[in-house]
Amino acid sequence: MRRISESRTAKLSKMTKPINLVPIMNLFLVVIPFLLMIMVTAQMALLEIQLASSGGGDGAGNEGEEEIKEISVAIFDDRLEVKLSNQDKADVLPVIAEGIEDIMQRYDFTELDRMFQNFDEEFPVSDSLKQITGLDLHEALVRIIPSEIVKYQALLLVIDICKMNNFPNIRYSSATTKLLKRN
Amino acid sequence: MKQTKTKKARTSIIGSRKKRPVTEMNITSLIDILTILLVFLIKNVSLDTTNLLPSQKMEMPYSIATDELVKEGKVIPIQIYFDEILYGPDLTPIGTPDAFINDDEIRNATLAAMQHDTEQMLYNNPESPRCILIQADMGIPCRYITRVISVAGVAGFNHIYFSTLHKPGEISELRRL
Repeated sequence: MRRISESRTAKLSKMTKPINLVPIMNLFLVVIPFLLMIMVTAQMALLEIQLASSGGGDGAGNEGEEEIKEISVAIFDDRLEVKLSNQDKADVLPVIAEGIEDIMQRYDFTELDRMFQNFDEEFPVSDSLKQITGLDLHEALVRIIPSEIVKYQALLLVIDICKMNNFPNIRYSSATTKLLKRN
Repeated sequence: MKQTKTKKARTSIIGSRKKRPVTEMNITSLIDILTILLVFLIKNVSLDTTNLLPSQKMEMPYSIATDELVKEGKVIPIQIYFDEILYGPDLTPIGTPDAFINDDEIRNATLAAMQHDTEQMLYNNPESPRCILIQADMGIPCRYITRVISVAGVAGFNHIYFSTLHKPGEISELRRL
C-alpha cells in the first residue's frame, strides 16, 4: 500500500511540474528584434508603366473627330504640355514658380489633375458609341515624355495623376525617341 | 561573547534568507504577448520585400496611386543613386549613372546581365512576366531613367515598375484648390 501511494505522489509531482519557458523566451528574444529590424515601416507603392512599342500604333484620330486614342504629356523643365491625339495644338501649363526645387510647388499639377478630370466632360463618349466602337476614353493611351533634365519625382507625379484619374495605360517615351520618330 | 553573538545573528539572517520561499516570476502572459507579436511580424515580413528595399541614403519619391505587383514571376530590382547604380537581387554595383550613359562597355555588361536574367525567367516559365523594379532617388534626372528603361526593354523585361513611398495624404494637397 505504501509503495502505491509513493508512486502516485511521484506521478502527481511530475504532472504538476511547470514547463520550462526559459528556452522559448530566449528564442523570442532573438527572433523578435531580428524581425523588428527587417520590418518595413514605410508603405511602399508601385507604379507600372508600359514600354514604348517599337513599331506602329501611332495612327491617331483616323476614325472620327471625337476619338482620342492617345494623350501625350510632355514634361519640360519650364512647362507641362498636354496634347490629345485629335488636336493639333498642345495645352501648355507653365511652371508656377521657376527656380523652386520642390517639384510639387514648381509645376502646375493641380491644373493637370483638373484637365484629366475634365476629359470626360469635354469629350463625352456615349454608351451607344462605346458599344459600336468599343471606345472608352480611359482606355486611351497616355504617353509620357519627360525631357532629359526633368527630375524623377516630376515624372512620377504625372504618372500618379494619370493613375488617379483612371488612365491606367501609361506608356513611357523619351523625348529623343519622339523626336526621332517625327524626323 | 560578542563574537559568538554576531555569529549567531549572521547565521540567523542567512538562515532566514535560505528559508524564504523562491517565488518564480510568472512569464506566461509575457510569452502570450510575444507569441502574438511574433505571429504578426512573421505575417508582415516577407523576405522578398527586404530585397526590394533601397538603402537609407536614397530619398524615395512618393505617389498617391499604387499598382499591384504581378503575383507570378520574379522581380529584378535596379537601384539608381546619384553616385552609383546597383543591379540584381544581390545588388551588384554597375558604375555611376554617368558611366552607364556614356560608357558602352558598362551598358553592354548591364544589358548582358539583364538578358541573362530574362532568359533564366523564360527558361523557368516561358509565360511568367519579366518584371524590373526601378528604385531611384527623387532628384535623379530622367535621362538616367530613360536609358535604364530602354536597356531593360531591349533585354526583354515586359513589366516596368517604379518603386515609391505611398502617401495617400498628398491627394488633398493636390486637389485643395
